[in-house]
Amino acid sequence: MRYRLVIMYLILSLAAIFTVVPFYWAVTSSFKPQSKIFERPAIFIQSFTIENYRSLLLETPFQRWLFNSMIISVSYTLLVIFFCSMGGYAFAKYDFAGKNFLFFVVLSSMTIPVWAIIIPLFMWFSRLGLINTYWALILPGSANAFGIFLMRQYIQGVPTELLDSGRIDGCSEFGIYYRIVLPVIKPAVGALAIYAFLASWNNFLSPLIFMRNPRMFTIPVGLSGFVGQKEFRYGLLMAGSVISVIPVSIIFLAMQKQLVAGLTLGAVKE
Amino acid sequence: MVSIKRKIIPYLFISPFFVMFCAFQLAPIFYGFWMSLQKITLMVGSPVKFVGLENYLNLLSNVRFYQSLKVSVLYTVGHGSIHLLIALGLALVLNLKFRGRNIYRTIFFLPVVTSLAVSALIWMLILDHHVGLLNIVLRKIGLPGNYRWLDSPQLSLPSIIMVGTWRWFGFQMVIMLAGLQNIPNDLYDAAKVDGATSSQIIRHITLPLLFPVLFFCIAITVIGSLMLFEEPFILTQGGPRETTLSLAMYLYQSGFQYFKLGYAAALGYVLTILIMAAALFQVKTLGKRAGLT
Repeated sequence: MRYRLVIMYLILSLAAIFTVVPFYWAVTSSFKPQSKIFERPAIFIQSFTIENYRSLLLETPFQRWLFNSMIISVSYTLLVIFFCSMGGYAFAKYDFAGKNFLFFVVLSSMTIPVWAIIIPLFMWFSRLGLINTYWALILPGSANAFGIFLMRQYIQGVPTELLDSGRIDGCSEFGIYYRIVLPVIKPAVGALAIYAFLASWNNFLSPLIFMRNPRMFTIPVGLSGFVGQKEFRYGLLMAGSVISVIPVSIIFLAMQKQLVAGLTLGAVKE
Repeated sequence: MVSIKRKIIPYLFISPFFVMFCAFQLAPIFYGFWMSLQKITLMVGSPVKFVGLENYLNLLSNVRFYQSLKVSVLYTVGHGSIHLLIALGLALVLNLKFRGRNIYRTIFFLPVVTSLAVSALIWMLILDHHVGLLNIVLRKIGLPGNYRWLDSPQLSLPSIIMVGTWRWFGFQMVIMLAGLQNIPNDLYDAAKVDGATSSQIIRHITLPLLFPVLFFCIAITVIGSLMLFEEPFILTQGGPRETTLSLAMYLYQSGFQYFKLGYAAALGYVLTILIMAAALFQVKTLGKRAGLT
């Protein structure tokens, strides 16, 4: 039994080291001077500097990229919540002609890869002048199939008597959605919000294709543009990577439970 | 009057969603097919021409297409089997009750919230043949430590598989763990009373009951792996000698480096059909055991 326990912790620790080491290396490299990264690479920090962060923020458009990423992710998240909670409410609590068909169409769209959609969208956005605008990143995907599925599942669990008692009290149908349903499903909305924010914050393909002007880049696209430049500085790249990971790690650590609950909803039947 | 109003209400609630859904999801799918039947180059003055199935025929006779198909299939099989096995092993361990297991779960999940692009950038500084951590460590323990992880044809794809493993195993593990926790305890108790060993329990109780969840994990792995893009785009640009040219990478190059948009749209359609065929194949072969039919 003891022997088994040792092996168990050994396996877990190996996996944990494999997971953590890249983060460790990114963080330490971001505090190393450029010369130390290239000339005498060492596993531990020997001369500590914040030069990489200083020049990242002052000599590159990184601040602008951070701002773009924030604006886009927050707007996208709000839109997803708005569209999906309203749509999910209708699918969960009303009967209407075509309901099952529409829901089936939405669900099957989840198997369509983004690659089949992005080229036509690029064509349209070029013609409409939406290239290099926030709209190009906020609107597509805001009618999110996973989101409406998640919302429907949760709202089905809200007792119909609760909604009916609202009706008796003279609440309008929109009032029932806004004053009764939304407050009750707050945890699910939280899960959806994290999911949407992460998806947008971490999105690479759409900003890569729709943003052509470097000032409109988001963080991942901006950073990846450093690769292969004449004066390639790993320290700068790592400083940017660290900054981009910080908000999502904080969100994840604070709301781990909701995130995992949202992720496993599709896979595990309760 | 009232009843008409009541009938309209649900449509009012779903209409914002469906307007956006039609504009940015459904319409592009159909328009993409129309584009794939045309010759469109994003050059000034070059006319758009209807060419029928020419893009598809060109694609099916192109060596690079078959190379990218091979790379994507190799990645799907390699990455899929490795990271799912690791995830399953760790999920089985973490399903036991012991001190600190939530900490491990949190650690394993951290790469999942890191963007694919940033993961690739971080790994770049590990796999770099000169200043990368991996070679430094290998040199420290007395091995040659001059491997070209990203720019040798033998190592490039395995390296990208390693990055994918790091990024995804925690995600699969959390899903499997949720599945494991759904298996009722009395089944285990009954097996123990009957004198089953723990490997027998895993083989005859845990894995069969977990199979629907495993099926889900395999399905999303195949869909995701066939779309491999960020890692080769950042780490290898599809090279060396096209050993990491995935389907998505090839599509991107065709559309946005050579600006053959009609051809790229055709590739997008082929990728969609491949993904659906793979999904269908899985439902047909494994679906019954997963309780889908």
